[in-house]
Amino acid sequence: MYDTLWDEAITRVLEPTIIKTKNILNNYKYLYDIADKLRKAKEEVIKNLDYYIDQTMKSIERTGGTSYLARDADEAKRIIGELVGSGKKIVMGKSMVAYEVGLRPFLIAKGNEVWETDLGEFLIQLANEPPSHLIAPAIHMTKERAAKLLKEKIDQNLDETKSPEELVNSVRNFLRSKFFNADIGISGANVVAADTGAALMIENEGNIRMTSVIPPMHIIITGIDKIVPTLEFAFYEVMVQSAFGSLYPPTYVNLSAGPSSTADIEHNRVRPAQGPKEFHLILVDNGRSKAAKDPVLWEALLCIRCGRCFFHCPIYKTVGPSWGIPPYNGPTGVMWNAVIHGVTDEKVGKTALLCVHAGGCKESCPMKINIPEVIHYIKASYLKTLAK
Amino acid sequence: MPFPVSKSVCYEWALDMKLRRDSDTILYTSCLYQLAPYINTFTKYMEKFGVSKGRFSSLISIFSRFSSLIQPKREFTEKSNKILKNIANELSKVIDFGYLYEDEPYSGALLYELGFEDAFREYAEKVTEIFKLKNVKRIITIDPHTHYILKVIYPKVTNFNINVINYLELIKPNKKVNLSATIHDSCLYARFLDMYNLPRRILDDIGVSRKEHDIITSKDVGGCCGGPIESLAPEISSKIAEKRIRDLSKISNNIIVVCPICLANLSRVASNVNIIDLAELL
Repeated sequence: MYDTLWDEAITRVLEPTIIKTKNILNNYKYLYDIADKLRKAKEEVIKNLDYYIDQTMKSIERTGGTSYLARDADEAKRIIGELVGSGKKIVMGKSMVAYEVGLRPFLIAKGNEVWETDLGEFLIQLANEPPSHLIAPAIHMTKERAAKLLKEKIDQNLDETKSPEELVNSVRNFLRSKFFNADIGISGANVVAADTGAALMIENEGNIRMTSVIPPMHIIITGIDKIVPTLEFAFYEVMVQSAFGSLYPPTYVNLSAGPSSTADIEHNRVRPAQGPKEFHLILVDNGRSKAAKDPVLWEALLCIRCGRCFFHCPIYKTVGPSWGIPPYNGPTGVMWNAVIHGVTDEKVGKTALLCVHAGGCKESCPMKINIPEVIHYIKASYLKTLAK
Repeated sequence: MPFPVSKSVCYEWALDMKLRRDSDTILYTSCLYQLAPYINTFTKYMEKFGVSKGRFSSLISIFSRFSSLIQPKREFTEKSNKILKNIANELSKVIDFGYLYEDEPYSGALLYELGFEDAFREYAEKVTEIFKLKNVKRIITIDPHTHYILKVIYPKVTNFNINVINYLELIKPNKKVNLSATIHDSCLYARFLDMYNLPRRILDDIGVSRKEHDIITSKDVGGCCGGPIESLAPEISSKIAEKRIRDLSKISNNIIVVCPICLANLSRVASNVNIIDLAELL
């Protein structure tokens, strides 16, 4: 599934990333406090999911956007397929949920031109590989591998001796025209505020800002677990996620609440202004509301996808990205495999069996999710099915 | 006896110590130090002959077949006997305790850790019953797996209400050791039982020059010896152990462990480093 020199790739990133995150947490002490507040807010939403989904959808409609609830992957694809149609040029910001529902191959099969614009996600699109980490999807590729891939696919002038800067510049040149000619931009969201319908997206590359602003239509696809009660908590979420994800402050936090508009001429609201004319937000369930009612698995829904636990897990470090079912791997990924495929699924069970309950995931988690206990529960649930 | 491996290999270390059999405070080995290197054999045997196929009722017969299957190596038994004697001697300076000898049951921790919850529950009830019959009021554990299972899991699944204390919480060694060493934490002590500092305090007390590293020996990164998946995925398990030793040997060639499974799994792949159980230093 992955073409990787895993030991080499992980060794290069592991220690610097761990140290970077530790320094951030030492320097900005308030992060722990807001992480605790965020956990409580997310618990409240998970306990009253239907109420908050309803409130979120109504708030989005108030901004002039359109909201949808997709029960599963097929429904999510059908909704977006109808919005997009065929023959369109589409740019995508990195989204795990889009991968989860199989959006990119679906849109390509419908006759659209689709480009991932996050560098890591762009690389795995070119390589036709799944993501290897929540926020660093091409973490399994060494610089040399990335250079070889880019030379093969987009730029003959590259070779393995080129610096990361040169590689990034080449991708920048390639993607520029894609942004400006795109009909539709599709992104995920890190968090959606129920009270206002505002979606927040963290990034460093600027690709999400362009994806969400340049094309005339912006579509967001995200999970119902990303809802928080208010915009206040949504800002907490982006702070905590980026800090525990080792980049703080993030270069950009984008907020999108509805399509662009102006009433500057005679107080008459017209669309679009400079940004998109249409704004659509699809909330995906796909196993989440069932998991929310599970006495143990519900905790998985607290995950804010910072990806820190990966670096504290002996199995991920040793086995690599193939430990899990794409796009979710690593410690939190084992839980998320169960959210999406069920706790008694054979593949999920076998993935869970490899857990050594070292506990580093639990120690490193900003939401204090008892990941080893959830994985133990998945293990036990799977083994019970064998006993029958 | 639910786990008949407690043939002499489990209790021979205490034969000449003449520990009381009727004390309401007992030292409890769960035969883990004695058999840790053979858990792998046992797990394979268990998976082959029953548990994973769900014939939980035949567990007892699986255990008895296993007991006749393994023959621990003499050198290894001598090492674990020394560890156990050291612990008992150190404890005797601070507390009165007894030992159940051939009547000591196995805790069943392995069943729980492998995820066989129903079998474990059934088994734990039997063990709880044995402790009650023996009128045990307090159990002194000597390894993290047994400590965790009795302290945290037993009360959740049976009507177990016996006081559980770990030997590291009790001993007050006054010996001085001339040794520079690093520590490989037990995952359970460090991250599940809030006992990250306890072994460190004891090492400091006996004068070990303790070498730490911001990442390699930290509480949140630390790591695993690979032991828990040795039977399921031996290659991954060895790779984890080798990596762990590679990391730790950057700090010191003397690596102190506080768990029989870590001791067995790291020793298996160790070359040019000494894997030392803390109790060997007592």
